[in-house]
Order: sequence, then C-alpha cells, then structure tokens
Amino acid sequence: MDIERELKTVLRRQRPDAGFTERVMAAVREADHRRQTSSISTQPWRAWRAVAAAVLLTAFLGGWAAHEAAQRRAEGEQARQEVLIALRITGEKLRSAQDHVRQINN
Amino acid sequence: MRQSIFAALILILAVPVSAQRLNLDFPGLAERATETVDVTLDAQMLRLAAKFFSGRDSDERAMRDVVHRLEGIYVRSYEFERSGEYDMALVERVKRQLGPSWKRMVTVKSKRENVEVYTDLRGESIVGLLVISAEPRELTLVNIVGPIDLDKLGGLEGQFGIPRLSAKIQKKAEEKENE
Repeated sequence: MDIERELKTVLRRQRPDAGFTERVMAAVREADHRRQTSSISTQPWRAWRAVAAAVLLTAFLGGWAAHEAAQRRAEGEQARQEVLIALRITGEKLRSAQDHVRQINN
Repeated sequence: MRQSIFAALILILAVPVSAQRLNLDFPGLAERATETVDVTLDAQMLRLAAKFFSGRDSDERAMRDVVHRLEGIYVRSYEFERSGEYDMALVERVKRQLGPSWKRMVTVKSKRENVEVYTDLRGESIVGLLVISAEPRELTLVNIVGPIDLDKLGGLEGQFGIPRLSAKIQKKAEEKENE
C-alpha cells in the first residue's frame, strides 16, 4: 500500500518549470544545427562533386557552342566561295557570248 | 470573307514574283567528266554566304546586297576528255522546263561553242537567269533564281575574279580605233 501511495506521489501531474518550452526548443535547434554541420564536415566530397559537375557541364556546353560556331563559320565561308565560283563562271560565259556578239557586229 | 479575298490577292500577286528553279540534275554525267563543278546554293545558304561579305568594303557590301536577295544559284559544269561525251538532249530537256515568262536574250552558235542566255522577265524585273554553254568537250549550265539587279551585278565586274565585261569591250574598241 505504501508503494501505491509513493507511486501516486511520484507520478502526480505537475506544471513544468518556467522556461521549459524555451529550453526544449533550444535543444531542438542545437541538435538540428549539429546534424547539418556534421553532414558538410563529414562528407565534403559531395560539395566538390557538385562543383566538378557544374564545371564539366559548363565546359561541355562552352565547347559545344564553340564547335557549332566554328562549323557555321566554315559553312558560311564555303558558301561565300561557291557564290564567287558561280558568279565567275557566269561572268566568263556571258563574256564569251558578248565577245561573239561583238565580233558579229564588227 | 474579306480576309479570304485578301489572302487570295496576296497569293495571286506572289505567284508571278516567285522565280523558277530549273532541274539541272544529270545522273551519270559527272562520272564521265574529267572535271566537275557543282554549286547548289539555296536561299538559306545564300543568306549565310551574304553574312560573310564584309559590310565595310563597298565591293563586298554590293556583293552582299546582290547575294542576299537571290533565292538560288545552281551551276553544273562538266569537262570531258573527248568530244561527244554528252548528249545535246540534256540541254533540250532543260530548255523544255522554261515557262512562257522566259525570254532568250542571246544565242551564239559557232564551231567552238554554243552559248544561250535566257532571262525570266516579270514586268521589267529579271527574276531568273539561265546560261547554257555547250562546247564539244565542256558543258556548263548556270541557273540564278531571284531578283537580279544588272546594275548591281555590273558594279561587281572586275571584283572577286568576276570578268570585267565592259572594260574588255572598251579595250577592244580602243585597239580598233588605234588600228
């Protein structure tokens, strides 16, 4: 019977001390911060891997854009040369016809 | 209704302006030739080529203006080791493609060479040019599609390796006067 009474005394409902909520929240924040810090400090390769991926992607995209620009430039230069060849041939043939006409007129 | 009429009007007006591209494909001819020039430049390639003529130099600028407005340049030139390697029916096949707006401007027939020049005239504008040069050992066809400004083209004589037509004539005239 004494045990029952003692248990009732020990387990009776009590109001928490002043500042209990603040202490609990502070403990939660501290635990959270500790977890974040430990994740970066114990796994730095994750951050480096992200940086390396970004650098590689940038290099790849830059290289691809440069290659495209060079190819476009080469195509443009070739088209320019072909225009000149075409106009040269046209000019030669027209000149030939013009020469013949001139000879006939003379 | 009004929109339909407007669209129809645009179509009617647009059709005569569009120039005609001729079929200059001669299967098997290139294999028989010792030397071949094949230039195929559609409107897209001509726009690209036009960007590669500098805007600073006046000759380049003139060339850029001419090229930018064209819709196509097609050149087929074949040189053979012996005469009689090509059939004149090929030339006739090309000429049969010419519509009623095409006019023959020049015909030169000689033992050495036959040259014919046709232009596609729409009103006072030339929107197409066909040059046929048939020699015993050489066949050349040039088809230029699009508005051709002869004044601007004339301004390019002597530039970029394009023969100076008027100067040659002038020189010959001077030689004749001196005689």
